[in-house]
Amino acid sequence: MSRADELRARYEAEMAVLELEDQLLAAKEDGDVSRDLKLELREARRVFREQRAGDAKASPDTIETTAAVEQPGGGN
Amino acid sequence: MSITASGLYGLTLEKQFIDTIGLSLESETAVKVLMVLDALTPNFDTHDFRADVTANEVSGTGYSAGGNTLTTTEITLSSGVLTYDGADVAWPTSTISNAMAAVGYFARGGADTADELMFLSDFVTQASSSGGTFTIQWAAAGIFTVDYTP
Repeated sequence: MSRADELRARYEAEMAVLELEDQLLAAKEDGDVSRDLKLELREARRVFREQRAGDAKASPDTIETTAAVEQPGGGN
Repeated sequence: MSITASGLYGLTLEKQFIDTIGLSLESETAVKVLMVLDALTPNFDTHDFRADVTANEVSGTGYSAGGNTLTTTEITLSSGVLTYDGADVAWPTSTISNAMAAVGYFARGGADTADELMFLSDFVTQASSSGGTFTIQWAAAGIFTVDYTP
């Protein structure tokens, strides 16, 4: 990928995030946020951040937690 | 004393499960992010309010105590994983030294003793800015995840 193509891809990825963020804010104002819109924004952010990796001052990892469900014990 | 790991603050998590917070993580105004120095020793079991971290909050030009609001917040569910995310947070034209972690909390608009801590994201290495933009770019996978089908 040429430098120009790389910059174009980064610009398009950022624009996709910004447009979806605007849609999310509008949907929140209307009180009607769809699951699909949130998933679309989640994916757009993932793409954008992968492209920008290393650009920011701080890039913390995701805090990953597991909601373990213990096996119930047997009774008599 | 130092920051060695990221985590969610258990006491606030408990409040959310038992519905005593009264604020949404998807709020556009109630969740803020501040930054702290490595001098902080987080205790995810006992620390519950912003007052537990303010003594170790960063300071500097372009940075106001309490940090910035986290916007376009969202909780998504996919393939058994709950993901919390928001827009990257930035402090333009700032001079900030040795930030070591970001702390997310519920901002109630008053004393730091009333603002519940939600999460701490460890930067692993200290970060600074000098008259430029300090940006926290959250991970591609989001700020935090909960795997509810382990």
